[in-house]
Amino acid sequence: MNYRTRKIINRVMLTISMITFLIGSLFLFWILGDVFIKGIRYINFSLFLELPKPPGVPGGGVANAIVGTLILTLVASLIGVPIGMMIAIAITEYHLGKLAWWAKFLTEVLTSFPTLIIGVFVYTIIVIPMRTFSALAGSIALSIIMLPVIAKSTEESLKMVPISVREAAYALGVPKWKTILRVVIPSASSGIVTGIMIAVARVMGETAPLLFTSFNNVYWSLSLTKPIGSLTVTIFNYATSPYDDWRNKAFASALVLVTIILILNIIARIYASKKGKH
Amino acid sequence: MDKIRVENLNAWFGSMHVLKNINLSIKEKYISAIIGPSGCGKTTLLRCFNRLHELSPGARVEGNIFLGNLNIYGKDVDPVIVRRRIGMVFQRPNLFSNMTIYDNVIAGYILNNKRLSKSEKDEIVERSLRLAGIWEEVKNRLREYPSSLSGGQQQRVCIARALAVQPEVLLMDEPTSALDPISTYRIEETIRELKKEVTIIIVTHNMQQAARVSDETVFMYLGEVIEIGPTAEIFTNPKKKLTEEYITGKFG
Amino acid sequence: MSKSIGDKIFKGLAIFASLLLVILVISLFISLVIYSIPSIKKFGFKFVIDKIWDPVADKYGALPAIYGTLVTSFLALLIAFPISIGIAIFISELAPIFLKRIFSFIIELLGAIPSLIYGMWGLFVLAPLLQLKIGPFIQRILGFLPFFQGYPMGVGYLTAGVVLSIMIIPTISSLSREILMAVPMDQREAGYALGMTKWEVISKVVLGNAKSGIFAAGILGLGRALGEAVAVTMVIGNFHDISISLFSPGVTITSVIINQFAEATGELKLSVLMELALILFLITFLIMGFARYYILKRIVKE
Repeated sequence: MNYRTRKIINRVMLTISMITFLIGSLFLFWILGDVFIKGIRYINFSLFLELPKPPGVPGGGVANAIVGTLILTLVASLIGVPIGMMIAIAITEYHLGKLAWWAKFLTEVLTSFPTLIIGVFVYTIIVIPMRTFSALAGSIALSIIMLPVIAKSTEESLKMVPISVREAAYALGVPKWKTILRVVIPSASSGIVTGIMIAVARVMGETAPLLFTSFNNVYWSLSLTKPIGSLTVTIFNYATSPYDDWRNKAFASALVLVTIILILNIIARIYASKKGKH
Repeated sequence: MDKIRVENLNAWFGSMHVLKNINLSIKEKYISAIIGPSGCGKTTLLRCFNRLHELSPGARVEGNIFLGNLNIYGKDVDPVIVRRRIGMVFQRPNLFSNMTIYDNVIAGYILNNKRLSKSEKDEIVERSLRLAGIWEEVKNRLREYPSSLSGGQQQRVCIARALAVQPEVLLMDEPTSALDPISTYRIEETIRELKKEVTIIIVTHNMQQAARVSDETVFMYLGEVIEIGPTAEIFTNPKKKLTEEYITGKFG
Repeated sequence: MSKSIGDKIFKGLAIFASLLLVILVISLFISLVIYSIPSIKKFGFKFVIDKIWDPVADKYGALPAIYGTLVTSFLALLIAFPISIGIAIFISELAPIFLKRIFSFIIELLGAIPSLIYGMWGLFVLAPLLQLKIGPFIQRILGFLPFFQGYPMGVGYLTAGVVLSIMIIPTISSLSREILMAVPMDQREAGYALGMTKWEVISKVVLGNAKSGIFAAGILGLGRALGEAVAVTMVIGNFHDISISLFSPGVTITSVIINQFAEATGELKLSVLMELALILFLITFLIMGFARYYILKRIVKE
């Protein structure tokens, strides 16, 4: 193959590579743009303040779904964050041998596990015994999904803290658990917080597990033991319905959801890079 | 008077026998230097004094070390208590980067949840930084973070931090090896001053530093104590041939 | 280390959390098995190869669902893999340093979009496009192939495959990009020094070094596609049968579970869905496990 041919192939392949990136970016802007265009004109106050109404009836909103998503995410975080962090601490700060290996392996397995199956699982262990769908079941399902994300990012952040910092604390007579809580974790805080933000953004967008656990609720509900509405389930129901009115609301709500999730991701990224320089 | 007495101390890293039947005494309010070629076990011995060695995976210790009347390797002795009586300064400054200089100095109290009034804290911080010879340099920068200090300054703050909890013994693991000559000189001055307050044990791979700074010298080789005695004698009239060969640079 | 109460409690909590994780995964598997038993007892192994889906007569077969899951996921991988590698190469090898972060971030954002939104885009944008413009276009050129026969309905295997492929591009390309960037600079320099063009360095040296890692990235993407539920459900067309044509609607394991859940009254109906979930669990586990094993073997060889 002479040099000229090789040069041409070089040009072609590199251009193709650039094109693939443009394709990827194209899809990002296409999908987001579509949600924006279809949803923006149906964003109004009643969307945020009113309860759902039957299709065709004027007004109506997804207020309870927004609150529902917030409650589900909050409770899921209260469960998932401490446990996820403790798993990471168990892996990095203690020499637990086989148990640590299994914890790390299962964290990997659980990371890209079908969230649908997690929802089905929680259905069997919580919904069936409780004989009702509930916000609690939904939160537990979401916390299981959050667990591996938190554990992994916390583990990586903890590993970045040099041993000398721990030894400095030990040498001052600080017991191990206080060293972990008051020296190591604060040192790793930026990575840990970033991980939490990304995990939260992820579970806010989950639909499938909620269909089997928190189900849906078109009325106000703050109770953990009753079904609760959520933004994702509501959007799903509205979008797959045959009613234009509901479909429009679906896009408007989707716009709200995507905006929140993207802002969370952007904040997490900015926070991570800023703290990295410190 | 003996501050520390080591009896039949043996230590391992996994199956590697790194300290072999160590027996020695450290005199109170003396500066004792431990010297020897790389791998002789001097750092390991130092880390046995504050029970830091056993934290490494696969590490094991057998034997006794007496701090005054207390056998720090006794069955019911909590290593955390030992470490409050025996402090340590490391090879590289390891101040807590997310705490201010002020908070770093009293970290030994804060991290252990000891309640102190502001004036008590101020007093401890000033006293410790003065002892470390760095009070004048940082007294107006106490709310800054360690990253704004030079290496030599950070190491002095580490010394202050270790002194703040008023230990009886201060261990120093090659404290100036990462510093420039001027900082080294100033820290050596500080160490000589500190003799009045604490018993000091310093590990150094720099023989001249040992000769400058210490009252007693321990020479180690391949995990054993070869010779121990007044610094002046070790360096001018060593009793063992091995010591003499090391001192005169025949190996190192 | 120390004997204090605080240390003992804290270490206990750490061990407890790890055990909790282990118990969680084990009980997940066990509960799937237990709830599948009635269905397994009734249909036996034939379940996996049966096509029938008759709720009235209580006769069920998993073949269309399994077929649909595999077809859409592998189709997605087929489309996404080259594109993802191209993106990874672009960001890792071609983009100037100050742009690398921004470009990576754009692809990351693509991955942060919830699957629900992908489903909506697939249903309202891609499906009509496929039905009215792209489908007929493909048929004119490739219509002789059995894959492209039949009337393009808009929803179906192809739509689901395309939607899934876009969803897994961030997964595959992010991991690939990291792996490419981990190849040491001196390997590339050796290639340049021998007079290779940039593309030759990339394809022969960098990719060669990164082969097993990129394979792993592909498997990870495949795993994600296999488990995807909502987006696929919205664009697969919900048609309980098998068809060679990619234009045809079908079902996937996840779409069946979602669509049939509301009507899963009674122990048998629920058990059938559970058995489907168990089958998905096994397929995912097997494929990921095989990939991990294969990669380990290659790493050991290298």
